[in-house]
Amino acid sequence: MLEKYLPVLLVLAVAMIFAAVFLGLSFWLGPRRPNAQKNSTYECGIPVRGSTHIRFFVRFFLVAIFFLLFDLEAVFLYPWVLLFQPMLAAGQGIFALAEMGVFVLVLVVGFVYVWRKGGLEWQ
Amino acid sequence: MEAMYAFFMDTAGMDEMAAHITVAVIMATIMFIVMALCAIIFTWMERKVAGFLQSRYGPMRTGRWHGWAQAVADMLKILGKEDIIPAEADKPYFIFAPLLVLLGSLLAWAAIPWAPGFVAADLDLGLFYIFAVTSLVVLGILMAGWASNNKWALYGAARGAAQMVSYEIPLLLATIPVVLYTGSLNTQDIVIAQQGGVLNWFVFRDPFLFIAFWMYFIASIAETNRGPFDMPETESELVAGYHTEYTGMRFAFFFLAEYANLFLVSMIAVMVFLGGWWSPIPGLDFAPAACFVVKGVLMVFLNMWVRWTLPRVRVDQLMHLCWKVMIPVTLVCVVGAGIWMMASGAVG
Amino acid sequence: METILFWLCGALMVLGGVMTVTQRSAVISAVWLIFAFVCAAGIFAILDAPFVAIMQVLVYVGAIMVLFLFVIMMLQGPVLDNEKRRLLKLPLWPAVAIPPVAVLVLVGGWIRRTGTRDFGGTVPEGFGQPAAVAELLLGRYLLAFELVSIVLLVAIVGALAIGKEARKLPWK
Repeated sequence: MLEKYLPVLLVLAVAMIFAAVFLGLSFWLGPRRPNAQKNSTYECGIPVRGSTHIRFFVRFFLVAIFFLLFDLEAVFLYPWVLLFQPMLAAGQGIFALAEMGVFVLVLVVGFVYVWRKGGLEWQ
Repeated sequence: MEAMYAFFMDTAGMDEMAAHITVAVIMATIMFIVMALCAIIFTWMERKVAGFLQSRYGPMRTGRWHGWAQAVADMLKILGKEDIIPAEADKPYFIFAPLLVLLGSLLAWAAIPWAPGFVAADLDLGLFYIFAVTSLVVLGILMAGWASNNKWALYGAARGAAQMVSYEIPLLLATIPVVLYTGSLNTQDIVIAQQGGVLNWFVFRDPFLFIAFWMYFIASIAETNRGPFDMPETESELVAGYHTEYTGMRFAFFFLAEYANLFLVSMIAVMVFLGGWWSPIPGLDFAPAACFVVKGVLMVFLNMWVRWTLPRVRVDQLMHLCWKVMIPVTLVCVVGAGIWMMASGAVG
Repeated sequence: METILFWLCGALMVLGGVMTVTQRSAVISAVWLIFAFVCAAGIFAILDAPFVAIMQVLVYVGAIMVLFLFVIMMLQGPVLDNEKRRLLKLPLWPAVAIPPVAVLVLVGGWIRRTGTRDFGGTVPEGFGQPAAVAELLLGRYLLAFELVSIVLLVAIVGALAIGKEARKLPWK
């Protein structure tokens, strides 16, 4: 088990090392002459007005939550997909399709509801 | 890979764990170098493709022949640039965000099968793993936008995140019909199932897979935040989007990650739909890795072609396309492919 | 090797948890929570449960944390009135902290008393592999699986209702 996921960990480590090397190299080669003008926030060159962290459009929240729900749906489809062939081979194809059909249908109902209620509009 | 294990275990006399670690480190190093090369080659390629598509030349001077050394020169130049961290920025997170973006894409590279047996992390859940780690990119982008403390950067990041998460659903759903056929999420198994010439590639297996491929392609453009879906960095409204405040090497990391992601989604398309390392004519598989890379580069070219041809869409059109067109269509593809498989009796 | 990695992941996860609850800024808390989630995924991978590990990253890190970050950004600024703020300042943390500590003490005590470190379960062949998970999910736990879709449906309707309500809030 572990030897399968060990490469992932090592890729992480190697990437970190390379990134550090490149950052170090640029730190060593590059100039460092900071001044207040240079370090100010760049918003089209005019002085910054007001706070950055204003409240956000509620649309983003809706997108994120619908994404979460449909992502879960897709994730739950994966186990079914893996089982489809064995079930097909065992002559249970209709049953397999029905299992997923019910699951997807319920979500399609939700999807149609959101669509009809205008939850998918970006206004 | 097997040969590498054999070499380290027999010739160098390492035990199994040490051999595993050594091979993994070598693979990771290769990945990183290929990724850096990719960024260099693709920036040049992008400028040339953009140039020719718009009836101009693109870079012509550096390195004489069609300005081939331009991207190398740019990379060297960026090494010598000052690394500016704005006074208002949230320092640790500002520093960490580009790394997260880069890591997300490099980690996904680890599960790409370049040739039979040549894959850094041969996971049973490979495809699933790729989609999981690329979600780190979204977080990196959000973090960059937030830590920059710049209105445009933050808005670009929020747009980028909203777009990337939205298009992740059609992306996931479009690959499901393929997994129906392979019955495995292992990236090598997916490629092996497509042996035997162009007609056995999953794009041409059944009509639903053909549609799923194009859905995947569209979603992958949106996923890499490239035109016509480059809302996060619309230079006319948001300066440069989430990386407005980044300079020097840190900016280069975002740049590197963009091209790494571009090649990543192209490679996934090749692996899942276009036969991976198999050549189009059966029996001509003497250079699997080259075949894989050539197909990947062709997909990248297609992506660039689209980028420089189509005008940018609006945010509402972008969301409309994803939620009202692509998600229903990909869902139909999943169900349709299942029924098709059952009706045609095709297994494996 | 596995033991070392297990303890390393565990320790980092605790660090992530502590950092999450001690930060002042909600966004920075969220970043540390992501870190803790990734460590949890590492622990799952070590414990022969790759499917759960990848679900952890895909769903928690990739989806739920994006949602959290959006919500935090949405609620910036003066959303709470003073009444609610005072509620937040009440020392409620013991109510949150005591139950988990109690569980830990109980489990620790039980292990001490019985003197056992072997919990008797052996992992069957193929445990935690995607195929095994799929078989359980679509065989024995089919009803639960189908009920998940109902839960998701309710969540969709709820999210839409909240979103419509939130649109009426005054924007700054």
